[in-house]
Amino acid sequence: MLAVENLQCSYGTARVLEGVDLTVSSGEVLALLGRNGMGKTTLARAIVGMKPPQIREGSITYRDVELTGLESHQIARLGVGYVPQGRRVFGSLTVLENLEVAYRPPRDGQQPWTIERVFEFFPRLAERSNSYARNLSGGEQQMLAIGRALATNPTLLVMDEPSEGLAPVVLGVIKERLRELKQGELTILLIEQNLGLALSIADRVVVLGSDGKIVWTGGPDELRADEQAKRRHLGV
Amino acid sequence: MKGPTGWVKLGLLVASLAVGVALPYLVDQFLVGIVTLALITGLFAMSIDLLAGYGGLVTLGQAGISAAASYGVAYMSVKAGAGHLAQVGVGLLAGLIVSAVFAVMIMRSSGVYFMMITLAQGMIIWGLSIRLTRITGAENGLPGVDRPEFLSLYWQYYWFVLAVVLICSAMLYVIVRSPFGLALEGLRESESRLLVLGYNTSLQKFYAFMVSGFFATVAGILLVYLNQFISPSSAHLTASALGVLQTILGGVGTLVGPMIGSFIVVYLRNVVSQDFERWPTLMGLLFIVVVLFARRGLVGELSERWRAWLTRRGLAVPLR
Repeated sequence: MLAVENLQCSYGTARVLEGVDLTVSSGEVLALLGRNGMGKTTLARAIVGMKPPQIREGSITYRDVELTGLESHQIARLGVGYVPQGRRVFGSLTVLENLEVAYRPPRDGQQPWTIERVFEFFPRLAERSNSYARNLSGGEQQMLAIGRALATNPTLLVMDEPSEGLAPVVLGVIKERLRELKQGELTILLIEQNLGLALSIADRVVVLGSDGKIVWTGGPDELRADEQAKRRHLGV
Repeated sequence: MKGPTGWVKLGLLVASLAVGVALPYLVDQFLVGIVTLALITGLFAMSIDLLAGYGGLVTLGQAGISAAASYGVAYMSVKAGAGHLAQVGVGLLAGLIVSAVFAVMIMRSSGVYFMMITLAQGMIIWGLSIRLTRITGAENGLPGVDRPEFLSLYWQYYWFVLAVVLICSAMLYVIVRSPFGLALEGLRESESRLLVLGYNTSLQKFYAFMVSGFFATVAGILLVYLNQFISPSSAHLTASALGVLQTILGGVGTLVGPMIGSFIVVYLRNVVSQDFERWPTLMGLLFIVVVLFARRGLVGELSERWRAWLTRRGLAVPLR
């Protein structure tokens, strides 16, 4: 569904990605792991068309459409949803308004996400639907960021560290919800620092190394067992 | 209606409407004229607030759009001797064409760049109004723009302006609460977030600028019929900046605020100035005080205090 080939990205003269190859198949959850500063967020930004970074070389294709060179809004309309790092909800809008702004009718044949369905999915958001997003707790903002991405009715969801800065209880809720999304056959590219969360959800794992390339590929159980890889590439 | 705040708002609205309608019976011609002017510049400031307060796009060239509309009307009236329908039609067209040209120029900019481009745009209209002597009468302007028969008396025109401004205010109120308005607030907060949600933000800015330009155009048409005169100073940066000042004074992003700011500025300029020559100093001081002690503007600050007071007394709808 998504294929990244030989992707090279840079910020000005600083090169970050030096030829990344990865594929995400339909209905799959691919976890992208790696230490801080390896370029995980850069890869996510490149996929959804945000600038910077500049794409120097390589291609990103989504359902046979070349994404490099397209504008962010065009990529979003192709069905790529994005949950940015650090949540980034619209603070001066209410929860409901955040979802209304995001809502986009579904493409053919998928079970549609309506605002009501987002509220069923995250009942906490329904309770706070008239609150300004800036007054929400961190966990609620994360739910809203995910809900907002779902309201665009994506077919591929790119999530950048949904676990960042969350209390353990909230983390549990998010984890459970992500599992449910996976069963709903949504394709997910999950960028994570939290190894436990990533391994419990992912079908496949890739690790981004310090040379700006994918240095490890395999199943979650394989990575769990591979002490050497964990130590070398993830520092755990 | 949500609790006491809703009732207070309704009460204020009804009261000001009643005073507004009854005004010609209450005060003399001079004051009615002042209020007419304040209503028009208030509409002008609201058009700025739509861009600045909701979209985060502070424009310094809005007077160029209004002036283009005014010149359209004045040219048809004074030079071409056309009927009133044609005058208003050409005024609308002039304002909207200038808005569209400006909008294309700004649709990829934001922040300081947006301010600088709009500043230049406004001054281009000012420059043209001085150079195109045959159309604009240069520094002499175009005097003698007559109103239609049924609006010729000052109180007739006042009621007409009141009605038009009310309709425009209602339209603006609906616009800022529509999905379009919500997306505009999203634009103020973060353009990139809107982009990844699938919004073409350049196009969004184009539309926002056109909508704002429409209301500035209406204000320009109303103003030229009030003064029955237009000159290059109406397009100058000073006129645009005054609109921004009114908006900040009253409260950015409140719609009501710019209208109230406009009443204050018009009062200072036209009433206080009769007894006190240095009224700009007074206005400067007021502006400084507001910026220092009421950063949300008068309306923004008052509503914040009101909410805090309600909360203290346990009457508030809990802060959302």
